[in-house]
Amino acid sequence: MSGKYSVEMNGINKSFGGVHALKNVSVRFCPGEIHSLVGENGAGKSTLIKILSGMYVKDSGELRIHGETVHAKSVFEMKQKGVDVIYQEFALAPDCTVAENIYMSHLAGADRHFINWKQLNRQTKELIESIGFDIDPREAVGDLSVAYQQIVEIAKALSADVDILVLDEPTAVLSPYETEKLFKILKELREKGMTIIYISHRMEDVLELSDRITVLRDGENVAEYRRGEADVSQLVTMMMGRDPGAFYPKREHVEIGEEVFRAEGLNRGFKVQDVSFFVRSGEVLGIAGLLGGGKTESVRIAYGADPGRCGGIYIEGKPCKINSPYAAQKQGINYLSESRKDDGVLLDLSIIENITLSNMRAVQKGIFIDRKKELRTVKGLAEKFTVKCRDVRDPVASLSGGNQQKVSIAKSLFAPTKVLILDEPTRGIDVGAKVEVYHIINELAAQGMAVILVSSEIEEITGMCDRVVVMGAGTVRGELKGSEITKQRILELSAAEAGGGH
Amino acid sequence: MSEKTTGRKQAAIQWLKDNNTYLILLVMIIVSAVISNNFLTAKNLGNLVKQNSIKGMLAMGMLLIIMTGDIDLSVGSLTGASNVLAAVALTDWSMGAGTAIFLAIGVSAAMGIVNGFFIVYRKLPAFIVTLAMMTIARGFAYLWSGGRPISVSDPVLTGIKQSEFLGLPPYVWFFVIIFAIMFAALRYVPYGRIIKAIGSNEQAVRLAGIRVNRYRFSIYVITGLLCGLAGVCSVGRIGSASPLLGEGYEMDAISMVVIGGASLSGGKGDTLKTLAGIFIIGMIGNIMNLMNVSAYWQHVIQGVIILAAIILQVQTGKKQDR
Repeated sequence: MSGKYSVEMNGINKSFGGVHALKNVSVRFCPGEIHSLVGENGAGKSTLIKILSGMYVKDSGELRIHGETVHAKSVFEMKQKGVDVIYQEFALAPDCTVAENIYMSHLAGADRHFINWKQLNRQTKELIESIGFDIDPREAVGDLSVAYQQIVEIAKALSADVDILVLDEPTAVLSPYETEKLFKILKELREKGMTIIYISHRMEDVLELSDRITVLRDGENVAEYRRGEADVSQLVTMMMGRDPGAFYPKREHVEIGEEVFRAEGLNRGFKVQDVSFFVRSGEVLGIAGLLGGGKTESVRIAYGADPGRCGGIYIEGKPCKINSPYAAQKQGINYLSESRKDDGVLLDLSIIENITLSNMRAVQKGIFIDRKKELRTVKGLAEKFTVKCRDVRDPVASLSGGNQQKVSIAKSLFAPTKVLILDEPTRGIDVGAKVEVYHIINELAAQGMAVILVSSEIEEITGMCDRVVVMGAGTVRGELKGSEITKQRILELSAAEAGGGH
Repeated sequence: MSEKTTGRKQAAIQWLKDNNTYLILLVMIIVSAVISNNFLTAKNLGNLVKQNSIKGMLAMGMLLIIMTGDIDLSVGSLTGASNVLAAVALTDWSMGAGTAIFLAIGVSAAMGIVNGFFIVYRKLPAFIVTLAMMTIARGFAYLWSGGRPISVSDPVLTGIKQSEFLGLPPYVWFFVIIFAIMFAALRYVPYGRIIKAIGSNEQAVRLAGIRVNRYRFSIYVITGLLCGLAGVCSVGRIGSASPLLGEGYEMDAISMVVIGGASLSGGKGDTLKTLAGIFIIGMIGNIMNLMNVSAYWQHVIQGVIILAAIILQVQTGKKQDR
């Protein structure tokens, strides 16, 4: 019986301090199957995976690989057993070549002393071709697109005879086209008899791909479905333990007002070519398109964050010169960065210090910070934006991704705001937090703010926006309004003549 | 019940880890008091304060720079250059004391401006720019002095040493004032908050609509001013200027700040702990002198203590990651 499963985890328990992260969780994974783990942030998915990868040691329970009980205490040991995890943040050396990265641990050839570059590069090329891609083995990994970096990660796992492959949120940074390619590879690997464990917040992806789905909630295994047994709303309800209500909450009818912000003729090399858009008060404007289509680059030029040529910025019809975020903020424009960790929040600083940063004047008394007023203000905001935290004086790093994002939104809004640009505001955050972010967006629009929502998630665009600008290859491909906003129309426009490649 | 006590225990351990600088200082004071009868005398403690006030000024500037994640290797040379310039202006160029002091501090600030310009507006690495400035400023110190020490008897400058208030000379009070301003600025004024934020994540601060470059530039100017003041004060304290003055001060200043819990990658730093760091480094020399230990050993022991402090702090950081 036990020969049937490649991985058996029986009655696993794990605590951190007083927090019981996993409570008696049992899951079994079969070879030749794609098995998804879903759950909100903090449900225990990562902990479970880290135990499987050897990064954490379980408190109690049993772990069997191919029927054999394992007491591994290191990642190295688990790799020897054929388990490899591809994390959201890749473990690649950006300045090394593709071949060097893939064969990092065993660069030397048969004689075990010297590197045979010709052989190494040929071997790499064959390996990558075997999963249907063509990447130059001598190219530096840092020069590849994120999608191709992921292919390198997969190839690296395959080079080490891995037969149990775990992917943690692999499609978060991929465009729909690239996602499709990744799925094709995963399905091929499944045919070859690999065990694939897939973790994702994107329910559509999970349902399309998985043969089996395990739902975790609060460290417990609450449900298991086979293909076709569950739909999105069932999964989400199971994950949250309650009915989430409408996933994309409908906005009460808002009178869309005058034009507040207009950017004309944005340019930056090939990445952004003559892009123009405008947004009115009370309106949610979507900017949709594939990854690398120039969405983020365009709004960052308009905000003054990146260099680039700009034909003109008009605030309420009046021309303005915006050449820095400082200048943009003076005009009431605020921007939420796509990359929370790179330039969104300040992880080491407290929630208070993060939120008030953009407008300290509001909590100042003379030249000094009025700490009491600051604390009071931030506590109010944390409540308003439903930030779940122990204390607003805690560092932002102690929060979950979704709550970090809410702090980031509160921070962007702390300075007076007429136009809010949200760049991928729900990337990598769990379903519950997503819905909360959507509610915040609706509320802001209802108050008459102009909101620009930049997103690669098409469902989010179709669910939230009044009007959509679709971008592709650095240009505006078209504009959709009202009932024209459908998944199909957006895909058609964004993917038109964009064949793929890097 | 038991969870509560373990929680309290953990909090206590955490407190000790966060405040290990004070702990090290306390241990050093106790050890020093035990091994030398002369340590806890008013005279020796006064000396300790006097000896470290001037380096302390440099450490205050260094704290700002390290908090933004950069480093300044030129502070020792700037101090040397301004100390020579003040003396040369007084004796060789027969300027008035006020003009000479103004010139010396002004030139040091100008060197800070040059540092800041290349680091902030030309985006060159601080390590390299200040390494170059370290050599340049030292070169000027030799050029202006002709390589010889210059003794100064001007009443204004020697007054920096002699006219005491509450038993301490003016240059010590200068340091106290600078410390008080820094303490308030870093804790209660937006300026300090923003400096810390820049060290934590410069891009995020820029996107929050803050003119990051102005803040970063300002700290090099402030450091230049502090070096100038330190140079002038040391002329008064020693009664002469030497082109050699300030050699190695940059390393002492960095050590003081780092022992004070600041992270070289920025975003972390505390004025009060830096003050403790200043005394920890200062006491090593002081107690060794009292014990007649050779100066060569002093270097070795200073290095070991820095290493020990950092090991403690890095371990703390690791634990927090979990």
